This record gives sequence, structure tokens and C-alpha cells, in this order.
Amino acid sequence: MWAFLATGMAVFALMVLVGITLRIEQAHWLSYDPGIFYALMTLHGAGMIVGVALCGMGGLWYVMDRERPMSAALAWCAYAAIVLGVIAVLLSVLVGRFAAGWTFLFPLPFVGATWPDWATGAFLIGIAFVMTGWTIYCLQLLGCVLSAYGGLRGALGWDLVFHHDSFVASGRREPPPQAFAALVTAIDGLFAATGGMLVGVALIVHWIDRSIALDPLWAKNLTFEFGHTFANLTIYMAIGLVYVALPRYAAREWHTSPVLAIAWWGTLAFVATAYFHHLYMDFVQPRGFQYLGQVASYLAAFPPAVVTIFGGALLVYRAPMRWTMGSMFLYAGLIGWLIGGVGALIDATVPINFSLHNTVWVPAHFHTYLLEGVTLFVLGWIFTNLEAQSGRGSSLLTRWSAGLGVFGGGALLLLGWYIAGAESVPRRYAEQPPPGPAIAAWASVGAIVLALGLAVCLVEAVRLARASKVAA
Amino acid sequence: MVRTLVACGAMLVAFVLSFMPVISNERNVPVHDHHLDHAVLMFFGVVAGLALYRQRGSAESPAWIWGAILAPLVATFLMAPSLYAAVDAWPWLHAFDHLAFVVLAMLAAYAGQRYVAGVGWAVAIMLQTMAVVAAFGYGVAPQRTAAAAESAAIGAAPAGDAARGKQLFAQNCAMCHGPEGAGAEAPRLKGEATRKNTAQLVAWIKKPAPPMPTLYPSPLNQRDVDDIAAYVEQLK
Repeated sequence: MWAFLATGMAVFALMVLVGITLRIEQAHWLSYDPGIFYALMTLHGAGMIVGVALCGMGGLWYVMDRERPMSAALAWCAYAAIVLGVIAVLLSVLVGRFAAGWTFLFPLPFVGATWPDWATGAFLIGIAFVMTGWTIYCLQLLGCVLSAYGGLRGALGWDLVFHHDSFVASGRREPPPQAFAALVTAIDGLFAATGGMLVGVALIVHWIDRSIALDPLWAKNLTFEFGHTFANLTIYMAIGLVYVALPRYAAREWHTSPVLAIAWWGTLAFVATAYFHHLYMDFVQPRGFQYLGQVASYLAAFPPAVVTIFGGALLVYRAPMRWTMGSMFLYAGLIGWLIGGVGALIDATVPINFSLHNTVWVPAHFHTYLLEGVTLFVLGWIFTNLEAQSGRGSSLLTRWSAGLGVFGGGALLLLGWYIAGAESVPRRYAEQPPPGPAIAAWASVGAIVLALGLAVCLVEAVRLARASKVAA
Repeated sequence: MVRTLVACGAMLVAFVLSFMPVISNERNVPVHDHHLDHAVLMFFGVVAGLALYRQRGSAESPAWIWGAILAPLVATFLMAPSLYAAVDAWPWLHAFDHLAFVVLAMLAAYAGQRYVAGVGWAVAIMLQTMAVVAAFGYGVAPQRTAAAAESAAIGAAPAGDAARGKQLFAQNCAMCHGPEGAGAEAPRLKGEATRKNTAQLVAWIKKPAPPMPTLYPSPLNQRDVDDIAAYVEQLK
């Protein structure tokens, strides 16, 4: 677990620095070639997603290994494949200046490229390695869940929902809440890998043999089927950690109820089908998919809102709560997820999407649930473990410094995107039209404050880790 | 008994279908149909794999996960349309290519089940989905719907006269970019078409980054820019 978490957090930290250089360039505090900006933007996107995914993967693997032991060697294979992929992507972007964006939408990596051909290949092969590691992980997780709870029926909690009385009378154990997160991650993860593997191999083949035609709409559908689902699953993996960690602070148990099971069935279906909202403006997309995207995007919001966010709030309500770095981040992450989710819902509404989707509103919402959602869950999980192992807590000053940096700086950074998005400032532009640069200036201050807050967390984590060693 | 019959029957059908290129001597199958043919072959391979597992009732073993991972990956590479044209000319090779799909599908399903019961189904669905979805865009040119044609027309740059562009290039550009774009003070332009399309070339000439001077709208007009772009596109 620690290898995944440490690597994921290291990649995350590096990408925070890359992100700051992007924002301060938009603020005109720093000037460099637009080609470098787009290369760094590509690196930032790919690196961040993989970084937080690694953290979630490590954490979820650890909690599910407690349910039914899994092969550590296999987890290392998944880790090695992903690390190899990250190295290839780093080479492609830093040396080759590949700059087609982390979504590598066809035909962008091949047409009008300002980078050498090998960089395109290295990036695509790197993504293929990441996908291979992800597939290994998902198959392992699926195997764990299926064998731990008696197949798919048991893992879904089917009997708990439809034969509740006989299920309870039989004395069988229902899957714990984190098992639902693992099941959804495994199944939707394999679904994402299906599209990702196909489009990834197709792009590699096209890179080798340019005579092979690819339908750009087909490629875009598969790219987002993989990309959106994979990015979305980072949060559901992290939610599995919240289910385990938050009850420890509240001294209450997070029960599996029929409502929780049904909500996760909804998540299973809607996470896999919500990605169509990325193609609202592709007028050649079959209309049925557009309706499906709208409906799934809305419905995807209900299960987490009803069960996890509301459930988390109820768990904490009037509980003898112990507020530490760990519990602070876990609980605040639920709020960040909620706010980011509302931003996503607004953008996923067809008429609004036409106005917002090409603006920085989009980075606003996904940064909200990645920075103030997934990252906080991961930080919460790390501190939960370090606090338990060291038997120590953090001082009030440390908690305030970290909290002000992460929440205050984060809020300033995110508000910059939301306001600029509402003002129609376009996204993925090195040079933004007014009022983009002015907003980017104070958002950059927020980004730097956020980075300082994260630095406080790092120092505190190192201190607690040392204390853990002494305690051991 | 039923499981043995299903396994043997599925394998027999897959085997016969694999040799269809030899039996029917059919050539130049459209890529779309070819992908779907593979989907059918893999379906029977998957059925055989699952039935074989049920019939043998073997114990679970972690090492089998590699079969479940590698088989779909290799099968995806075998779906490369570049291979289709090659194997089309050699019916026997084509048949063996088909057999490879059957074996990979069987291995994926069987190995997945041997890893943990239920995983084989997931891998089988994954593989089958890939084969079917490939038919709608992998090696298949997009269908030209009215909306797509309109969208392409908007993005397309007007074609220029490369011969006239050559003269204009010699007068306005060659002093920095060298004769025929071989490179001098300014960057070499040979192979520029691999980095920029026509519209991007036109946009660049009209609004270049310093130190390249802006020559549009004077002394170069729109037609001149189009002609120079057409000439630069030809430089190899």
C-alpha cells in the first residue's frame, strides 16, 4: 500500500508544481513558449490522474486485502506496469514535448504535430502500460470481491435487498461498504479498460501504419469511455477508504443497508454511461447517446449524494467525534466532492454545456473534486494510518496551517476557474483573453497557498512516520 | 455430458468457421465485416473455454490471471487491420490467424475462471465487446454524414497554387529559410507538412511568432499566403 501511496503522492506533488507554472504563465507572471505550455498541460493532466489513481488503488487494495488476502506479487506487477507507463509519458513530454493533451484525442496526436513522431509513440505506449497495470489491478480486485462474498450475487448484496429477512436469519455476513466501492471499481474499471485497450492499440497501430483509418468520433467515444470512467473511479476508490476511516473517528459503524447496496448498483450503471456528456457538441453523435448521457449524468449524482455524503454527515452528527488531521480531511473531502459534483451537474446539462464546456468551468469542477475531494480523502487516509501507528496527533497550529492552506488556497484557486468560466474564458489556452489573466493572477496566489498547505501536510506526515517507527 | 458436448460443439464450429477463407476462398472482406467475423469466432472460443472449465471443475489458482490479461491484449493486436490485407492473400495463413483468435478467446475465458470463478465471464465479455466495437471505427473510415461534411468544409483551407507559391517563396521567404526551405537563419521547412496541416500553415504565415516578420496583409495577400502554404506543404 505504501509504495502505491508514496509514488502516487510524489507524482501528485510534482504535478502540483507543474500546475502552478501553468497558472502563473496564464497570469503573465512567467513567459514561455506556448508549445511548452501545452506539453506541460499534457503532463499535468496525465500525471494528476495517474497520481491520484495510484493512491486510491493502494488504499483500496489494502482494505480489501483485509477482507480476503490477495497476491502482493500481482499488485507489484500492476504497480511496475503503471510506473513504466509514467516513465514513458514523462520521456514523451519532457524530452519529446508531446503536447496533444492527456486525452490524446484522435487525430490530434498525428496531425499538425510540433513534436517528433517518437514522442507520440512513447506517450501512447506509456498509456498502454498504465492501462495494462490498471487491468491487472481490476481483475485482482474483482477476483477478491467475488471470492470473498460468494460470487456476483453475494458481492452485489442481492439477497440482502430482495430476501432481507431470510438473509439476516441465515447469519450470513453482508459485504462491508468498502466492498461495494471495490466491486464498482473492478467492474467499471474493466469496462473502462475495454474501451481504453481498444482505442489505445488502434492508435499505436495507426502510429505504426498511417494507412489504417480510424473514425474520429469512434475514437473520441472510446477515449472518453476510458478517460472519464477512469478519472471518475479515482473518487470511488477513495470513498472505500472513507468508509473504513471515518467511523474510527466517529466511534460508530458504517453499516451496509439495502439502500446503500441499491445506491451502489446505480453507481455501477451510471458511472459507466455518464461519459457521453463529453460529446454533447459532437453533432454527428447518435442522438440516443446524447439522451443517455444527460440522464446518466444526473442519475450518477444521486447515489453518492444520498448514501455517502448524507451518510457521512449523519455518521458525524452528534458523534463523539475526534477531530484530527485525518478526520478533518476525510470530512472536508465529502464537502469538496459535493461542490465539485454540483459544478459537474451544471456542465452536464445540455443547454448550459453549449456555453460552458469549452470554458475553464470544466477544470473548475474537476479540480474541485480531485483537489478538494479525492486528494483530501487520500490525505485523510494517510493521516488516519500515521496517527494510529504513531499514537500521536497534530498540534492545533499545524491543523490550522494545513487547513487554511489547503482549503483557503484551494478555494481561491477554484473560484478563479468558476468565475472565469462564467465569464466564458476558454480552457486549454496558453494565452487567455481578458479577464482570464487578471483572474489567473489571484488564482495563482491561491495555488501557491495551497501548495504551502500541502507542504505543511508533508512535513507533518514525515514527523508522524518517524514517530511510528519509534513506536514500533 | 452436456458440458462436454457444448465444449466440443463450440470448438468444432469455431474450427470450421476458422477455415472458411480456405473453403470459400473469399477475398477482400471489408474491414467492418472482418472484425465481426472475428467476434463470432471469439464467441465460440469463449463458449468452449467456459464449458471446458465447467466440465473440468478445476481449482482456482492465481497464476491463471496472466492468461486472462495477456490473451485479450494479444487478441487486440491481432485485430490490426494492417494484418487483414496481408492474410487475405493467403487463405491458409488467414485460417491460422482465425484459429489464433479462437484459442485466445478460449484461453481468456478459461484462465479467468481458473483464477477466480466469475472473472472468466468478465474477461469474455470484455473481449467480445472489443471485437464488436472495433467493427465501427478501427480501420473503418468515418461515414460522411451531412453534418460531418459541413463540419469538414468549414475547417478546410482553400487549395493554393504551389507553382506560384514557389516564386513567391523565393522572393519573400528564401532569404531566411534558404532555397527550397532547406534552412538558413530561419528553421528548415522540409517536412513541415508532417507538423502542420494547410490551415495551420496559412494561419502561421499570416500571424507568425517573432522573429519571423509579419508579411500579411502586405506585401502578401490571402491568395499569396495560400499559394506559399501549398508550396511549403510539398517540401520534402
